[in-house]
Amino acid sequence: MQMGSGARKLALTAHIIASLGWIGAVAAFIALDVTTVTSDTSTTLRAAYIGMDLMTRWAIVPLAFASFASGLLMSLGTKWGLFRHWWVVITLLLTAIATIVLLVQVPVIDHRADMAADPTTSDLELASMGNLLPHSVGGTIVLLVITVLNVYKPRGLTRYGWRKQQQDAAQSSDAS
Amino acid sequence: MSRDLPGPMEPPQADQPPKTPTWVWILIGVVVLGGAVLLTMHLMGGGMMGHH
Repeated sequence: MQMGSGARKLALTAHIIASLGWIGAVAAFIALDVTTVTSDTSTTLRAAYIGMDLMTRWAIVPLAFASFASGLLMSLGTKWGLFRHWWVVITLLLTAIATIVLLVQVPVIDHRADMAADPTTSDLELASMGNLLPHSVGGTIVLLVITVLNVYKPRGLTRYGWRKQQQDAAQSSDAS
Repeated sequence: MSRDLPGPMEPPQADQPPKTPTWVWILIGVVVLGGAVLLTMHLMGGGMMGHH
């Protein structure tokens, strides 16, 4: 079932806000992630690890789910469908992978924040906790690829999309 | 007319299912390669190592 014009615009607005918000939140996360690499100050490291956890829980994860859900709504409620066009299929797959990797990293980020908040954690332990840059930078690249796919919408029908197109054409010729 | 021979009801070439575009294969390759690199770094402790 396809959405009406008003509902489609509302869903598209929500999808753009959530998706770009996700990218922005990850960019802010990377800033703190880089801080854990470059800073030697104990208080800065503690603040960065705690900030990364708060940012993940209250911004990145909710925005990831909102982006995923609004993307599903947009594809299922419009002519694009979920499995008709390759750019939609790849977007769905990449979003799912990015969300799963994010959820796997949440306990790691949470543990580091707990250690950073614990006053008994030594500076040496704090300094040896490390960073998540491969994940955060890799995730950003994936999100940017998704954005490019969504803007350019490269041509390419899946077999399912081709069959549906044939069916739709046959139905419209029968009706006329 | 033999049933094995293409008749007038055979679909024309344009109605054949589309091939998977090249950009899809390239993107899948890049994602698999990137995933393998990340996984290797993860397993070897590269992403989790301390910075000092």
